[in-house]
Amino acid sequence: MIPRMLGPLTRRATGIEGVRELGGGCEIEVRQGEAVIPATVLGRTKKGARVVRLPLDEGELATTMVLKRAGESVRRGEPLLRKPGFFGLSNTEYVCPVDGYIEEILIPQRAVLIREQTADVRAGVWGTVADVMPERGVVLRFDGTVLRFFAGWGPPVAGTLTPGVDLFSPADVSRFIGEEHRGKILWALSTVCAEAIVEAARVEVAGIVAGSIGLTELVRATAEVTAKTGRAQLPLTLLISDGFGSAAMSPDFRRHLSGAVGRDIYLDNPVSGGGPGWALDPVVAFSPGPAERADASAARADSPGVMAGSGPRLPVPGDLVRTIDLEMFGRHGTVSGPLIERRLATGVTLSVAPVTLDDGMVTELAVANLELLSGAPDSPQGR
Amino acid sequence: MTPVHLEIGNVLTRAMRVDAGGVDGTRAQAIVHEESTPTTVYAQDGSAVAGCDAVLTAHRDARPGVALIHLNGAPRTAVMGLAGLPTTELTIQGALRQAGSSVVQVRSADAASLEAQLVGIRALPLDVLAFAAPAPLTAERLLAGGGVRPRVLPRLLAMYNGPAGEHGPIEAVLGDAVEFTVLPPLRKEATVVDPGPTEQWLAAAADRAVTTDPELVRLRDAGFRVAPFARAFTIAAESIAGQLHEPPDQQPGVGATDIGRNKAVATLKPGAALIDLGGRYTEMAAALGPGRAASRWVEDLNELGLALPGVGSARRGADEFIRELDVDAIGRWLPFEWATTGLADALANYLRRPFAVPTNWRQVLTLLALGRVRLQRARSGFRIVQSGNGQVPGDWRHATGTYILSGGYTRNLPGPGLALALALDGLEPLGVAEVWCDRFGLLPFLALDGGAPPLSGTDPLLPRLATVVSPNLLQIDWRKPHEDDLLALVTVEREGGSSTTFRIVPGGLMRFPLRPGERAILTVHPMRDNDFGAGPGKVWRGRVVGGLAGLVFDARGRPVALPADAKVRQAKLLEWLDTLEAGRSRWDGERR
Repeated sequence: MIPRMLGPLTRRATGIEGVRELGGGCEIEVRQGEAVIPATVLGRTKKGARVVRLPLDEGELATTMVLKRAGESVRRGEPLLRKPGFFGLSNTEYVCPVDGYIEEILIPQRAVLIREQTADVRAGVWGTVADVMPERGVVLRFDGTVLRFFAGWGPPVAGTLTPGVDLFSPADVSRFIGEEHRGKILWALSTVCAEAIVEAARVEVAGIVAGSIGLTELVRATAEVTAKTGRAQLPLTLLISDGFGSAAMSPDFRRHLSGAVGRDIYLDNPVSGGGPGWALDPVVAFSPGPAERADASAARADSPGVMAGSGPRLPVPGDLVRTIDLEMFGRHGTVSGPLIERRLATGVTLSVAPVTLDDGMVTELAVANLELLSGAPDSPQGR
Repeated sequence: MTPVHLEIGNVLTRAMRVDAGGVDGTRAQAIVHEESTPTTVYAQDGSAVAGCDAVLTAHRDARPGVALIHLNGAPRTAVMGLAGLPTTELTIQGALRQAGSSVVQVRSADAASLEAQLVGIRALPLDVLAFAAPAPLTAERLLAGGGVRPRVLPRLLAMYNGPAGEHGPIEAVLGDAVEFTVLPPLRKEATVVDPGPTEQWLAAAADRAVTTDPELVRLRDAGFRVAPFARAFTIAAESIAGQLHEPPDQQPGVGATDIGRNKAVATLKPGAALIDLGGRYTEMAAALGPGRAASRWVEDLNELGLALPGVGSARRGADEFIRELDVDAIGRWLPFEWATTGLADALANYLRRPFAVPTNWRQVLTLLALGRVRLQRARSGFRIVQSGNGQVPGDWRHATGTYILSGGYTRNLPGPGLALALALDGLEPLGVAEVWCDRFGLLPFLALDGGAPPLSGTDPLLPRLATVVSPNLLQIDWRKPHEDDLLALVTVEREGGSSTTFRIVPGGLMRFPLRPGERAILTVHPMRDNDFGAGPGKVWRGRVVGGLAGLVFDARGRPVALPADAKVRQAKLLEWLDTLEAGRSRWDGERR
């Protein structure tokens, strides 16, 4: 089997083009060629959610006062709640602030979750609008860095990256997560525990980037957040770089992210369009502001704008790879010799490659279980 | 010149060069060369062409054959109708069979959740809108706020096959946004349904979408016959159905004398089921008999479709149409210990990279366990919808005598014993049935390229794994001893004249060494009211043919019961795998 050609996972370059998907029916507010800063609103999408607080103190009676059911569409100004007052002599109405539909009615939390028909999508980087795709989104061109992550949950968000910390144990949570992190992006150097996610959700952190997460922790965190807030999904964006489990973030990712600490970064978790998750890798993007760019422009030698793309091919010695073997998942390494046919213990004959992993371990891995991180053989190497 | 066939799959793009000698069934087929790569059609900035170019490198001199496209390459349809009605079900079936594997159903009568359903659908570009009921509100909401985008066609194709004369409001709402066609009502009278015009229209719409798809132009220009996998798959099921069914009076050594003595005579059921267990989707197509339209089913396996006991899953609140796999249920099929946490992570990683191949026994058995649970889920969800009256009969396995397992899972299994274990545990055939394995997924290609070949049993690429005998219903309680209990007395009369009689007991899996292709007369005398396909307590007597694993008697329960104790369960699983020679049997007949 010809392995998957993934290309470099990290790209620091000029002229990077990234698509901000706004989805069908979106309203785009920028024009081609326009300069943007991280806070620029590119347009409005229908995918945002808004929690509307309702003044419900009536316990069980509260359910009878909500005029809408989950799934119903609502328009701005339409009554959501009718509350009797003055011993039944008058009624007070609370109206919906946006167009959308009711996703959830959260009686214990005294709130309604409305999936808005309009939600702002911001640029997240310094750059220019390279193209406008009506009814779909905006292509941004920017100078900076793009890191290709493994999996993600939650909508695209932007925020200031905090320094990398360990969040794998409940003991770390109170030390590293506090109210000062509201609206920021937390950086976990390895795996992230459920308690950290729950606490981050409580203080309204915008997102977390981590090396990995155990599926059990993710499920536990989701369950706990649901129990506490009534929200079905995590109220933050979580991106992992190297798979499910307890793997640490790769050194290359750490190096790039350490340069972005204190700056605005953009977590772009693509909206599923019917394709499988493995083809929709989330990315983290960041770009220097105008002042930093002026300082660095003379000194930095950038790689080409888009790493030379090439079709699928077999690995050759020197190729950077990531393993997707069931028991050695997410490890990075370098192909250290030519491919050979090997009869495995199961009796199957497969093409295998000798690989030197990042920790120095040398092993043979099935070619089908590698992802190529190098581009074409003559293109610049890098992850 | 041998043709090269292309499959643009949901997980892999695959090129396969097949020795054409096998098509007539007289000579064994052989895979001359096969190559695959993870599908590029889905990838960010990817295209079908990149993957096809890579896998065709070694086939430049070969004759272009058939190119089959799966989900994302195939047309996409949204069916608007009332849930559970035959008209809706038959429209969905028509779309599944003719227009590709991607069908989204909108339950148009459920106004409360209509908007929630449509948000996801509006995000996907579509090709076809099928209205099986007068649903102008659905049409209006579908087009609201920019509406749905056509995937490759300049305008969406829409049709209405609901009650006559009620299409006006839908047509008025859709206006010029779509190309609208009114078809004869699918339900002609109260008890008569005719899906013919709907099927024909959907087939034509699918062809228009495939022809327009710019991704596929190069393949057509290169001489490939491009078609949705769905259509080829169902044609294969329709042509296989009834092939192995021999009426009792045509069975030498069984029919005349037994019918004359008024003894119970049985035969292999005419229904045939094809099951494609891929990396992400489980596709099933089954036809109840020769000339009967096949029903089709697709099970999606999302990368986070895993649930943990007691806490649920990370997909909470997400797509309600995707059921989740229980990690513990998968772990129960492992003949070794693996803590839930580690197993959950390994499975989640695999589901995110479903093209990884197993390289040791631990990995093989883990994917086998996942495959079993996926098959069980697909099997229990599958329903056959009959064209005549739109009725859905009971468990489709009661009418199925031939099971053919294919897909990427079977290609990665080291031998036929494991494929048989997967089929037995996942599909749990009822009564007397044959299990075959189309390891390289040849049947859909051959079905479209001149018709599915006769199932000869001599072709190493399409072997009969076993003839399986099992009761239709059997409750096993592992806390009680079964050794003294008797399920049935069995007699196997070989063609050479020798006869063997033995008993089968509950809880066991045993093999009778009937050689591949060897014929015998099988008589099953059930004890009490056990039913082996001839009816409760009735004798099943008919002709059977040996497979690679001979004759297999599966008395482990229907559904298969696993012991609660982990150690006992693991020992039993190993014993059953050993019975099927899962660790020793090897595939034959490949020249790669």
